[in-house]
Amino acid sequence: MPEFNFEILTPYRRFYSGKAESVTFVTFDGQIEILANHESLVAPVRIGQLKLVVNGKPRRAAITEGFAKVTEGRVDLFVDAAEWPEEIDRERAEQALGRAAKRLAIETLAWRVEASKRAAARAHNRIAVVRGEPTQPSSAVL
Amino acid sequence: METMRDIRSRIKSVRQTRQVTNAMKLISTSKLRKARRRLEDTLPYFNGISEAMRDIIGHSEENGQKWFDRRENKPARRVATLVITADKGLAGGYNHSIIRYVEESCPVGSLLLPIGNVGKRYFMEKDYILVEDFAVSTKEPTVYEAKEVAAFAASQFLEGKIDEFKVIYTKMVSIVRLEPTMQVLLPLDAAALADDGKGSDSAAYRYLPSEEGLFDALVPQYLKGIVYGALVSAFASEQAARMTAMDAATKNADEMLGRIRLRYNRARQAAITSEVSEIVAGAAALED
Repeated sequence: MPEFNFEILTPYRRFYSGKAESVTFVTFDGQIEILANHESLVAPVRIGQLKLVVNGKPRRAAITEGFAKVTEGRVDLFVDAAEWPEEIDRERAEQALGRAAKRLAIETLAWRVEASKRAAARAHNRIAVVRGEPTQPSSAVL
Repeated sequence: METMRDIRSRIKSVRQTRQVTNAMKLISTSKLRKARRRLEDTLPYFNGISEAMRDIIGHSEENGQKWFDRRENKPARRVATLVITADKGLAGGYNHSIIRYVEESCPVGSLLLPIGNVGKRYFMEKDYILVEDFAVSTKEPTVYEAKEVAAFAASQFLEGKIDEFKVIYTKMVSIVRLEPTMQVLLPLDAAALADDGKGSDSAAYRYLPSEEGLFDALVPQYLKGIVYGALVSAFASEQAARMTAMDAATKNADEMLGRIRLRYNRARQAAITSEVSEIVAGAAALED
């Protein structure tokens, strides 16, 4: 399959840099898959799973919010954080989910509720990636 | 004339100071190494996000976009500046040059958002309006802290409480070249962003969901990335400045010790000479 250059950058590290045949991530309108020769595009990225096909092999990763920029022959993803399944500490993710759920029950300030929802969505996403399950849309989780 | 005892206590005090400056130098050397690694990890993101933004803005319609609104007709435009200084002093000219830069570029009475204790304490006494006290550590900034600052700036801008948002921080060009830098973040300026790079080469973008919706999602991301990069860069600069300053202080102490030792030896020699001449004179007196 035709390839393109793909890069994921986070503030902490260059997460991935190399060739890819297909990249799938979640935007506001739902999942989107980018193949080679895709038209130029800019889109926000939401918390969710990233699917990546390299040399015919699929790989998955948990990513958080950011944006994607697709230009001729290359795709750049700028996100807050990205992790491969083997890097995720499942226990920590479950604790984070518990904390977020607890906070969500007591918070009343709108932006704090929003922050707790996001924390819960991040934790949920990471757990799903470790388990190898698809991530539920965040509205279904909360 | 100084006695040997005076000089000896002076040597002791200089030596102690040297010990302190030397220790501080070593500490900031190791901190600098860590900070530079972080800076190197962030730079691709920082540069990438700036470049992407430049590219996207170059292709977008400026008119009628709230993020581009310069509000030139407003009678009293309010400019807010994020100022990043250190939490501690003893870093050579680091804090001083940032403060001077702010005083030169921000008219008295403008809004400041200081990060770092030195700047906070200094500007509290001056005729600036300090807007918000962010609990951001200059030592190990996190993306979440940067996000808080960025979200605050974005919401204030949209509500019309501020009309311009910029950041002043120290950029580390190399270890010995630290430059106070100012970057205007809001309103987005296509012209300013476009002219420091290659022109727009690629075709126009398709925007998901819409252009307006995209910018609402994109701008906070962009601000956060730049603020985080500025924080990391500032901390690395601080350590570099402190290391250089403490290195110079240690060298000065060494030099001073050399001079004092010379004086000490002279005083000792003088004491011995006078003692010998006393003995000789006494012996001569006995012989007579």
